[in-house]
Amino acid sequence: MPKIALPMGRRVQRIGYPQAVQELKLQTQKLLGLSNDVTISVSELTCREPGCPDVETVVAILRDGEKPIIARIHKSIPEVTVDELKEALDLRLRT
Amino acid sequence: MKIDQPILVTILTGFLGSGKSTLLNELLAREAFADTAVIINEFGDISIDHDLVRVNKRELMVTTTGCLCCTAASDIRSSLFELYDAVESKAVPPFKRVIVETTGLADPAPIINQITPGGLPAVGYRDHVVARCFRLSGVVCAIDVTMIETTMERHFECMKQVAFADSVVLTKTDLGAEAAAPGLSGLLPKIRQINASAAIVDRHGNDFDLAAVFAPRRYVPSEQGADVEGWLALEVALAQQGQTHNDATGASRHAAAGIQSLALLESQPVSPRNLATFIELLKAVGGPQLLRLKGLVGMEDDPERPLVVHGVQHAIQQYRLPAWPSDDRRTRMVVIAHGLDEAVVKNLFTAITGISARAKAQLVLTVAGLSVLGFALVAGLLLLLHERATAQFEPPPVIQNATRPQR
Repeated sequence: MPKIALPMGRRVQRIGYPQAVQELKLQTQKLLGLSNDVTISVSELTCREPGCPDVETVVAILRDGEKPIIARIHKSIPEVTVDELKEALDLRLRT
Repeated sequence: MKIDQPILVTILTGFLGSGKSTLLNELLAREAFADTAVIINEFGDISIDHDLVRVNKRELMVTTTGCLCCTAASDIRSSLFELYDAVESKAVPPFKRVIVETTGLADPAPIINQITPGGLPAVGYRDHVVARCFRLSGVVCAIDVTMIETTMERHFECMKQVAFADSVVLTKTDLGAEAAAPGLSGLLPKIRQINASAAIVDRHGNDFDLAAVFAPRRYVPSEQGADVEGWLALEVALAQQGQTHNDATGASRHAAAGIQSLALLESQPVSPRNLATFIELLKAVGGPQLLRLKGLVGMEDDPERPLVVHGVQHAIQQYRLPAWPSDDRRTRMVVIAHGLDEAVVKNLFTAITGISARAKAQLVLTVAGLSVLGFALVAGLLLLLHERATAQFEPPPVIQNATRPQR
């Protein structure tokens, strides 16, 4: 399996999707200080914006009765670093 | 069609080569599952599975190519409405249940959202008919125990297929211990990490009951765990933003992610030796990028009995059918690969299978002739270079016989 950048920017053995999804959910919860009853959904979709990479990771914070907060990172789920997640969430929360 | 109660729909999913069609065939052979309508969705431009799934006269089948999760033109609501309309217009007899076999690369979320209350809102007559007449009964996921760990690690869709299932069928558990990667005891906790609630049954277990796997029940997404609820909610949110998987051109997420389907067609029968060569070369060229190979092949040695080829990554299975399943007697193969050069595969197929014996003999002679000519040219060139080099670096002539001057 190829080696790629992973959380904290270190080069470590690539983790698979099941672990990477849980990592991103955990990091999102920590970064935003969310309680356990807030649903965090991590998914991977095609990016349709011209000039962007093929795949994008979508992190959504879903609260009952509220508009979802959706952050996007132009990488596949196992490739996303904590810094990139933080940047995407910051950007989304500012706008 | 007079609907007293909604017709139950069961989704049969599982990654490429997990044994979905085998399960479906076994199910449809049973008397109790007559009056079943089948929707078979295939990834690629040509469909092969519809020829390999035996459907009785009382059963009805709709096949779609592309992918139900990402092809706007073949979404599940359209296929279900097509079935409804066929019965309504008395083109086909009524049916009691529907089984949807997804592609091996399908993301179940958008499919389930289209036939679940609270999912994608119904818009227009078609959607309302489907919402009134059909209800999701269950999601069955076939899991190839020899491959599942690797495929879940590498393919997000595979992980989602496992997570959405309310019934998991472990397949290929009859293969040798060397093939069954970690053994079932090590595998089950990993499946449970993804899906804590699904019933898990062994396809080759003594107590296996296929009818029970497809028995009527109620599929409740909220019982599938927080991940499933989140994915469904995200799909709805993205749809409301106009950002579902695909755009109006029908480009799929799989193509964008580098997974492509290559269709190979050949009208002439193929020799067993040439086919074996093609498959070996394809495996060598594709390596881990080769995800799936399936096809119906007309063979030179017995053209009336086509060969079925099933390949899942490096493992290839072949068996003969007693006869062609339809009037179409062309060899047709589908190669599903990740980042494999389409031209290379097509050239390989044409070079190996698409040339007649005579043309191949001519090709061999031509190649041999060119080789001889090339050898002669290279030899001549080397000789010429050698002569020039010798001339250039030959030491200046020494007058050996010059007499030493007298002191």
